Amino acid sequence: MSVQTARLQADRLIDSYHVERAPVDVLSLARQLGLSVIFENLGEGVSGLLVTRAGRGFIVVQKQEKPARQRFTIAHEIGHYVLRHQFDNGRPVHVDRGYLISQRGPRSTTGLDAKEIEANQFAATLLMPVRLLKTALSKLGDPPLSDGVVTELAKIFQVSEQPMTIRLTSLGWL
Amino acid sequence: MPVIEPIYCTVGRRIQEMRASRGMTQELLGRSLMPPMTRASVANIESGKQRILLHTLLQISGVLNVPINEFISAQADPAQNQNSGSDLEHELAKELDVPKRVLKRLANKFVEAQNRNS
Repeated sequence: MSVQTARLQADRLIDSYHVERAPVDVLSLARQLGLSVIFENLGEGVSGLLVTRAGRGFIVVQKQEKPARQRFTIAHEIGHYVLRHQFDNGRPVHVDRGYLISQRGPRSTTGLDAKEIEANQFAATLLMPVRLLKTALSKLGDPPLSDGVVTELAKIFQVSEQPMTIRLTSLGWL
Repeated sequence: MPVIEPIYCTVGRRIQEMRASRGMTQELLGRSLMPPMTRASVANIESGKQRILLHTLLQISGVLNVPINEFISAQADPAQNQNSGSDLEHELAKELDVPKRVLKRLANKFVEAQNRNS
């Protein structure tokens, strides 16, 4: 498994569900994949959970966080599920805490971090597909992109500005 | 409605899980078969409403890249051990620092969702 595979899988999902406009409806995508999504107060520092049980998947999202952050969490957990990540000792519950911070951390080669990075790349690709970004950009004007454009794009795709900035940078557009 | 043997529900559920975890739609799976199958037929097979034919299962096993025995092995049907949320409550307690009533509520929601989907 690699970051490229993660991106490819997200693109395939976007294509096969005919996602045509931003913001991408991650809740509906999760449901179509057979994942139940539950909002709950999960305690300090926890963004989300992926629970797999008897072959079924559940996503639990931190109720306390902002919608943009919750959307990223849902996309991240869909990533773990679609990429068939196996966690320690086959435990049914996987907890994600502040994974955005470790997104580009130096420990990227260790097992767990690699899975988190893959899930993040998957989430970024799913929430901000290149094709839809291009469409949105064509209406907002040509590069170089100003901060205002990043803010505007974040609003259109309903993500936080941080992942939008990272996404645009990794595409070489910023 | 005619009664269909439980094995078809089990096989259907496993097909659904494997397909979904690969991010594949029912429509795409149907189109990958020879002869192609409609999305509705795939849905009926997955829900156990339609008895799957052996050659179809063989093809699905090929398309999803899953050994055929994984669909039909005699291991316990997941549906049989999904009635209790207490094991899950225990697992959640190991990972989360939340009040017991929240754990209980979560475990109940899982069981509810599971029963609704199966």
